[in-house]
Amino acid sequence: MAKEPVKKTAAKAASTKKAPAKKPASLKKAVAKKAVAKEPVKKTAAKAASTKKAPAKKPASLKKAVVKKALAKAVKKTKKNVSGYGGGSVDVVMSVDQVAREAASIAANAPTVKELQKLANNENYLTINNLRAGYGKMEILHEFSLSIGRGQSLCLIGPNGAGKSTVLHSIFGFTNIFSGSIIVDGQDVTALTPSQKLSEAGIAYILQDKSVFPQMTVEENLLMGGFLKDRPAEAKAAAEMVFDKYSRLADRRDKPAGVLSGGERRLLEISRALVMQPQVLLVDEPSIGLEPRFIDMVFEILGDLQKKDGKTIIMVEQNAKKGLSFADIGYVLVSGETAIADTGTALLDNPDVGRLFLGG
Amino acid sequence: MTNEKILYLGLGIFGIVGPILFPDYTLQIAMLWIMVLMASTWDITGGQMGYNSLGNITFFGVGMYVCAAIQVSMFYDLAEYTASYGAIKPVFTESEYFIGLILGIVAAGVVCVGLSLLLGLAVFGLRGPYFAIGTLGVAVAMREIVTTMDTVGGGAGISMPFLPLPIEYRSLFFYVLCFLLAVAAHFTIRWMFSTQFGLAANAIRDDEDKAEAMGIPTLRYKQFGWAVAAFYMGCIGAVFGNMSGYIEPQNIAFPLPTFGIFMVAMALLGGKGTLWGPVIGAIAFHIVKETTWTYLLDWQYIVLGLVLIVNIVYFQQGIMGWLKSMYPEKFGIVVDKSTNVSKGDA
Amino acid sequence: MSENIIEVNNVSKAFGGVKANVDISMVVERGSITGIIGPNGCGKSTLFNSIVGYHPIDSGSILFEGNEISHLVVGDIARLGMLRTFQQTRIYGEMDCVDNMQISVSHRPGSQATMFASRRGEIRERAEQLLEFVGLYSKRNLISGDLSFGQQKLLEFAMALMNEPKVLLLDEPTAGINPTLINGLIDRLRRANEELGITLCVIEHNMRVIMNLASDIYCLSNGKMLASGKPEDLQNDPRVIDAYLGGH
Repeated sequence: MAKEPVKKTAAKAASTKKAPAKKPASLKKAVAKKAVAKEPVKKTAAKAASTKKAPAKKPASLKKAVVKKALAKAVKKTKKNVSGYGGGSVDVVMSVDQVAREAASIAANAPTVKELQKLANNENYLTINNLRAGYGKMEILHEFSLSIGRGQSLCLIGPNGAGKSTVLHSIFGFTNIFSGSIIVDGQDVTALTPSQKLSEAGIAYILQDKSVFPQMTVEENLLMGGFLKDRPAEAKAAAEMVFDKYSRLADRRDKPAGVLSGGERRLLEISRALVMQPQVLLVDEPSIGLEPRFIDMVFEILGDLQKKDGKTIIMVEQNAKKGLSFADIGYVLVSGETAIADTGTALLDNPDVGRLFLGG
Repeated sequence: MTNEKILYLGLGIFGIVGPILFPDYTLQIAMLWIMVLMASTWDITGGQMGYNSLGNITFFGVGMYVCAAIQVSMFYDLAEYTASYGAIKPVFTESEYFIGLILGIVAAGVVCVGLSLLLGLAVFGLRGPYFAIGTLGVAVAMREIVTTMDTVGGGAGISMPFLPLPIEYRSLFFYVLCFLLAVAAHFTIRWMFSTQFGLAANAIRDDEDKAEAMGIPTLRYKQFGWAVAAFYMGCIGAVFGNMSGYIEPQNIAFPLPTFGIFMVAMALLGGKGTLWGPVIGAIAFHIVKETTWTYLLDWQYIVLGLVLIVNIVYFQQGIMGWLKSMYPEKFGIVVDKSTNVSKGDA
Repeated sequence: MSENIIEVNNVSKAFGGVKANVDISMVVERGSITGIIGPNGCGKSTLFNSIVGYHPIDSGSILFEGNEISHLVVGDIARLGMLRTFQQTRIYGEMDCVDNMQISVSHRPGSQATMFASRRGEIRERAEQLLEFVGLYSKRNLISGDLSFGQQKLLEFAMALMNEPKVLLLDEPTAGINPTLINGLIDRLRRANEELGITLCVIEHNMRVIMNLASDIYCLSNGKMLASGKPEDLQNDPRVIDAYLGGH
């Protein structure tokens, strides 16, 4: 065991030693790249900053620091407006173990339940209380708590395997719950089956990617969303309401769902969940596999559902920057526990969060 | 590893001493070794490679016939012999018999290797259930073809040459052949799977398309694995034919509903895809089979069927798989206890 | 000027009535990192599959190191030194990580990996070194199917490196990976390119990744080549913005 760290540091020392020698030629390129990757409005400012610095023969590290400062400034001003996958550099490199260690030290000051409730404006429309849950015998979530108010949106971010999807799965009833409870609007829903969650508790789950029935038409997919309704006529009526709302889908109602573009498929997945008129939407990675222009579209739709229709939205999003810029509340999960919880914007501005979970 | 040494020691001693201690059961113990060989060779392509063959019995029967044909035709005219329906009673001298037998066994093995390569060209393009049915079809076809071949006796079969040794040594003689072949097969398989071959076989089982995309020449590995199985099946078939004293296509050479399925059942019971699984499965299965034959004769096949059903529905990992999940460390499997990582995407 | 390690010339491929690729031409320079972007359904994956031999093409030619390969199958092309990774990460789920690595050694004629090569020798050492490179050394004896999604991605990448390919085609390597790990992955991709000399060709949706990684980018749309050039140029190209990036 002791051999590993020595190996690692030796290798790291070797690679960092190599790097500066290569820097001068590639750094200029990297600087130019970074400058370009910003929003067009900020482009001139950043470009001016970098082109001013480039000709002067500053030492490599100082150049980088200056550019980084300009970037940070640019980011701060446009913090709420993240487009697509967000821009930025890829320079902050940390190993998974490193991230886990630093996150563990942050998690030592994990938020208390009171703090979580405060974020939810003390409304507590949906709460998870000290949940221990997992798959089979394996416990993934350890004493996990969550609080969200009616009509709010919450985004879960964190490293792979932290248990983000497990939270959604647990709310909906796909996991083994060892202890703890889930309360929605005063009603204890912990033990309900997924069908009951959908039909009685008003909770809908939107799966991660490629969950339409490709051979069935758009309309048939929507009708399937209303499968649990008492009468097919009710499902048809609800489907018509969806078509009224989203003309894009109405235009393609008879096409097999498999031929829809990525964004349209995601739209179908979301609206199919709406057929049962849920109050709570659990969205698993809304932007996965989507091209940049559709990512913004999907988040617009979700924002619309939250602000106009008053839906409560809990989502998991690997595209953390976009998720946090959208959501009111953000939870950072590490190894089955909440390490940090704050408003979305506050987390975006938090430099530790940026370094450990947002890629810089 | 000590556990394994104990197993080898135990089985080795039993193998050597068994027929001496229990002379009445010599042939039954010989059958045990035949079952061990069948299950182990099936597992090469079945458990380790993911190509579940229902037609390995083809080589058993072909080997049997090749050996018989050579044994007889070296000194007599085969067609005349079979046409006489036992009227010609050949007497072989010791050297004639043993030369015939040895050449016959070797030829059986070699011919079966060639046959497996030929058949492989046809069936290795199939996957999963299609491969199973394809190989089953091959076995059935071979059985029917042999039934029509009058030279080898057609449906009536061939009466095998008599072993020119005192009667009390007959069982022991065949026992030794069975035991040696089973041991040879086991150690061949053990060696094969200790090399890159084992990794390639498992890769083909886990994701053949990925293996192809990584440049692994999968056909070559499949061919080699099946050829080894065919060789040993052919050899043991040759020996079994001589043990039986009389061979015919339906029940002795190509016993599809019994041995043909048993070899699969034994490997599954013991735990497919492992070195010891088929061995343990064969022993367990054989014990159940012999016990029910002695005490519950009418219920024998029902019991065997139940064992199979329980195995497939509730106990798919087999005995070895179950042991591995209970005591992973003893098998060198490392379980990550440090982090409970969610296997989902997030 | 380095030569083109891959040349795609006027390649077309249709499935039934659907024209997946129409007259596509592109080149990948040896030692470069090339990106392919475009909306879903534009034909990126079909192009990849055509290049690696997953299916034959209808017309056109594909050259690898100057030789025609469009008639070869996946295994042959892999043995020539061109590998691809899959969008849905594919590894050998029942084997442990080191074994996954060992069997990924190159099977080109003349390589060390004969059919019965030992499992304890140099091959194993190299496997462990590469696992160290991607940060999976501590997990090397775990069954690969038990790893988390992100770790499996790293393993698949390490397996590709083990094969010592000349070109690596990566299909959305960062999909579903959290942002910090993305940085780590890109760092390793860059190092594989710079230190090991592996040419990379990457399909990606994440612009942050592509902009920081690729030196040349091709944008497809509706089965045709829409635009190509340097990252900065494409990001401001109105056709690309319209078809793919969306307005800011």
